[in-house]
Amino acid sequence: MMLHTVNKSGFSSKLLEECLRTVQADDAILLIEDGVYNALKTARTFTDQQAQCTWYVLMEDAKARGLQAEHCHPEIQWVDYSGFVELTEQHASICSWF
Amino acid sequence: MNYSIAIYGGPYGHQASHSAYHFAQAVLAKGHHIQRVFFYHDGVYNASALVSPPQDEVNLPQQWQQLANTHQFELTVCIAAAVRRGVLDANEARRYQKPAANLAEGYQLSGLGQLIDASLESDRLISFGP
Repeated sequence: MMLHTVNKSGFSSKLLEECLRTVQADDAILLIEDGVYNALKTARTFTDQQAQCTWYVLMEDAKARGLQAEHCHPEIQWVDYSGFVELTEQHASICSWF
Repeated sequence: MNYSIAIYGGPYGHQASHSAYHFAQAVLAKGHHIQRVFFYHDGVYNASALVSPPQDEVNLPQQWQQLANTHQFELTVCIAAAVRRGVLDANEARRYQKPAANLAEGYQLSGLGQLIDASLESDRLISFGP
């Protein structure tokens, strides 16, 4: 079980795509910084393979960019920095994509 | 748990150091320990004593100093990355015959081995990049 953080928007970078090529089932993906734009409904679609991992978006970064929950995929859970730390407690390895 | 943090992004140009700082605060608020923050690549600019933002803006180098001092963790700067970018302590300034040193107080220049050591010794190592 690994936690992946992604900090770039899919509108301007292939970073999330690269990340998705490596994720395993039971991994978690946390969208941070400009990566929060990937949470938008217009940004990407979930496939069966991708749905096996759990998705999170960092609330502070999402709000700072004007994102609202109703604009985002409902499957993505919103976490604050405290929740970010909890994710790192639960996952022994953290892979930061940037 | 014991955490170490690696920062690859400079202050102001990227969010990396800012994100790492907020993460560090949240780690400490949960009762965890931070062992070391390692500054690498352009992250070494976080350790410049000459960073002078407007007074009403955050001063990340100073905030790291204060947090590290309060919670007693190391601010380690990769020496090879720092020296080639002009972040020097007194020793390196002498070695390269430069007119001044600018490594901020509370930071120390050291080798990349300290990042490997952090990954071995800490329960968690997390990186924040540009």
